[in-house]
Amino acid sequence: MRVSLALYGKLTELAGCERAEIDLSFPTTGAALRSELIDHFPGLGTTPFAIAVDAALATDDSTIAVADVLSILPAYAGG
Amino acid sequence: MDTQRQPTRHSDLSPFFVEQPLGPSTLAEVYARWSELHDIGGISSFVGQVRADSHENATVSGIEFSAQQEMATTAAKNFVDQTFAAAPGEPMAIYMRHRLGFVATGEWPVLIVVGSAHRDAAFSVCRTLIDSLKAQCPIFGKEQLSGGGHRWKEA
Repeated sequence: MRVSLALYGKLTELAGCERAEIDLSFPTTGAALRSELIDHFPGLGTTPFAIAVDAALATDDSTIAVADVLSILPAYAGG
Repeated sequence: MDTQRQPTRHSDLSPFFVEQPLGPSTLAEVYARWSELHDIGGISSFVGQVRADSHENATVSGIEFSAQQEMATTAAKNFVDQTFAAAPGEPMAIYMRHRLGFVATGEWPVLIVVGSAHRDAAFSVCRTLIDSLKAQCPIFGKEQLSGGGHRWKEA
């Protein structure tokens, strides 16, 4: 299934893009999704990141039935 | 007939993200508006200000802020809802704004203002809100350095 990715902060440099579309298999888990993302963008393997599925944070244990947009988020640094 | 007045529940979060500067006049306008909230007796504010930190012989000239805006805005609204729910009888007014885009050294990326009946709640809620914002709002900062380089802000 084709999924849109939105990358943020320093992850845009590590992945080399701010937006992308990739094919992913569903259902999946947060941990499997993380692994697939690192396969697509090896630079992501060098830093911690969170995954939000349609704007809801997923954990490694989350079961993800389907997704339209994945937000890939580095450590927060507001304020 | 029940004539008891309901406590103030005033939230001013929209828009949470702004590109125009936040500054003393912004704060003064909030104070002026809240002077009409007659059960508010104490107001506390938190101002974030960009520091000219030094990194490897370069100085921060400003920070470029970006965000997952939908998630950050929802989180900010949830903070306020939780704050109101935690103190059902307490008058409370909350203002929160965060800048997007480039914020130069000395400028304000964040402004939080909290009013309540008394100082204890105003201080503590203001502290909780900025801590929650920093920990739970997906906002990112790229520090621009003198000489043209940059580094990503870490928390």
